[in-house]
Amino acid sequence: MPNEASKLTSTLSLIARILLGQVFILAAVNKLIDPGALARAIDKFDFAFASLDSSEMLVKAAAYFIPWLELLTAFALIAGLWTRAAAAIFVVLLAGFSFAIYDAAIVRGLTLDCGCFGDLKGFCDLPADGCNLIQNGVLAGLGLVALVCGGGRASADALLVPDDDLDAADEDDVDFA
Amino acid sequence: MKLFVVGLLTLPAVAGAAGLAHSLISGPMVLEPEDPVVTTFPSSDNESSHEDPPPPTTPSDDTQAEPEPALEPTPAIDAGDQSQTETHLVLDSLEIELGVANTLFERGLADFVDARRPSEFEEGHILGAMNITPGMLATGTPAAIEAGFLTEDRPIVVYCGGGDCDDSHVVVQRLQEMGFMRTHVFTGGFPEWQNADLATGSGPDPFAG
Repeated sequence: MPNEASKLTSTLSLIARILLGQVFILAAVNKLIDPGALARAIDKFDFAFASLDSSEMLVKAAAYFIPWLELLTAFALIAGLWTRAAAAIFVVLLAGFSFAIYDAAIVRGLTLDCGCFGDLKGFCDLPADGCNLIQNGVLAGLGLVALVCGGGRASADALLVPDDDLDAADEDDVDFA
Repeated sequence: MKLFVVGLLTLPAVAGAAGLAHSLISGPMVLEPEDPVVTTFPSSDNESSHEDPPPPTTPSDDTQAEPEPALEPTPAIDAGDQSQTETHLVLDSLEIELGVANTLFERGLADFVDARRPSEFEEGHILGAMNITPGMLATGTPAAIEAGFLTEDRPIVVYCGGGDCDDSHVVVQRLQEMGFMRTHVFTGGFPEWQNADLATGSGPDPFAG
């Protein structure tokens, strides 16, 4: 019975990892093609720090850092390397994106492109609105599945940790859920 | 737990290094203004003392068939202040996006030209836009231009159906050849404007045949 449960969580995790990883690879590549477009999209959110002298530098740094973080984390997630860490990073990123969209588009009523997928339209029409929040919620749900289930057997984590240790690690990792 | 911490530290660190390398390879990034540079400042008491060019003006009302947002200089900060305000507009790029187009529309700083077919224009268009298609320009001077509806010193925003639509670029090129150099393409076109739930109108162009 434990084996059946382990197979189920492993399969669920694999599906969630591949789906989420593919979405973020697509998003990251499109942002990396033109980091300037992402920087302008971030700039339009008119964050509270926009009044700082260093705001332009922060926006540019984010425009280079976020796509690379998404790309590397997506590859790690698909490969099952540091699965829970990768999933946690995506959940935090998606929570941050959602808060930014909620604050700028819904609370402050700005008309903006979320910049989620670079030049690609993504799942939602322009401008950013509640649809983007739902989209991020679905993706975060996939991330939570990977976070809770871990990498399972079909993952690089399973190679790094011997089988016996993986079972023990799985039990230990229940704390993460 | 160990894998979790290692991953949590390694992924952002590697991403940071990759981003830094990317930024060094790419060279300086220019944050182009998404909104037109609109500078509003108090002028001296005597308007005639201005040396700066006057703000753009709207065409005469008797030639205007649809409501056009009038140019309204930003109100004085203090109502008791006797100073006047003046608005300058700088648009550097040929192509503009929704945010810029909307700013120009809301402030009445530009004329809008719909380059789509008259039938599409009739179904819906940006409020106050006039219909000038590549075909109209190829066969002569459209009535809207002859009537002085477009002026060379006022920005013109041309749009079509967005996406792969190229008519707006064709119209812009032709208008620039006619001397309307402050002409820009709104790349998102009418679909993006409509999706953003911004002001639209319907019905035929009064200047059309």
